[in-house]
Amino acid sequence: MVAVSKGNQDAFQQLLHVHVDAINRFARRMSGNSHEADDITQETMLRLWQHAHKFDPRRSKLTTWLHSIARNLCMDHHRKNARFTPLEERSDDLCKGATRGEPETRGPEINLHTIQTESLVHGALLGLPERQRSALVLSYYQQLPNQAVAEILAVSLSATESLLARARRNLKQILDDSHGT
Amino acid sequence: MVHNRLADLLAAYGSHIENWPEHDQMLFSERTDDIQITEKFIEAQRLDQQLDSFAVSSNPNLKALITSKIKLHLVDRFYQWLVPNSWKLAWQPAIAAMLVVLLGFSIGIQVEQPSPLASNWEDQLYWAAFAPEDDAYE
Repeated sequence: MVAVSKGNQDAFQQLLHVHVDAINRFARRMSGNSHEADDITQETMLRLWQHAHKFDPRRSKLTTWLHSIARNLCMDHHRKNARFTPLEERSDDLCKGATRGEPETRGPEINLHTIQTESLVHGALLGLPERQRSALVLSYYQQLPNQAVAEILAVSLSATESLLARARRNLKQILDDSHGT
Repeated sequence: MVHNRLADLLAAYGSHIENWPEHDQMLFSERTDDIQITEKFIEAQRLDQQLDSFAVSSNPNLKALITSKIKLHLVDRFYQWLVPNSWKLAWQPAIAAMLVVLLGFSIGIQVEQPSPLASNWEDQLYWAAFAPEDDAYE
């Protein structure tokens, strides 16, 4: 980070290689479409380049700092657009490939049912209040430790756990309702 | 106590025990015979399966795109060096300013100042007119 703050492009490339995919997947799950998510990812990584000198490793880990920037950008986009773009604008590439952890290619066996389930889950996630969605995506999909999630959301550890429980309960309710209709 | 904590953990983190806080992970193995906990576990597992189905891939072109945006031209690099975004690098513009002053100073020293009397022949004639007519004192 010290090298990046001095304008070392090679050092930045290394950080980019480590973090860009995780931030992109986070943004894709948080936002309504892949274009918006890609913009948020680019902006996050450019802020890392421009404001590396502001990062204090004693206060937080770099992953936490980057997710925090990305979440703030997601909220900015959300405010600008009044609401996240609905699923119909979601491109196919959002559905393909990765699992909740590392990226992987699922192959051609993706069927209509799978895509429908993915859309339902994505829709249900977007239906959650922002803090609950952030907590769930950061903890479940990004697999950040509780301490990091609490730091990003600026709440206590017990409040984070409570947010997660509410998020899962509401998500289950939304999914049950959508299966029922 | 353990029963309640396990119920809370399943409600918050789901059935992936590896996602639970480390100090709580052992709790589940202690209560595998608890029917209520088993039911909650199965319920959480069902939701996790749905969550796991929402897989996303990252855009492989992003790295190149971001890299192209940070590649700076020579002029931009010089400007960035001259106007750094941190106070810690304030020595850079200070050095630049000092170099300019030193350059001006060295140029100033090297330039030879012409004598006001010998600058051109008209001035020489003008000053010669004030010279005494007789050279008796010489």
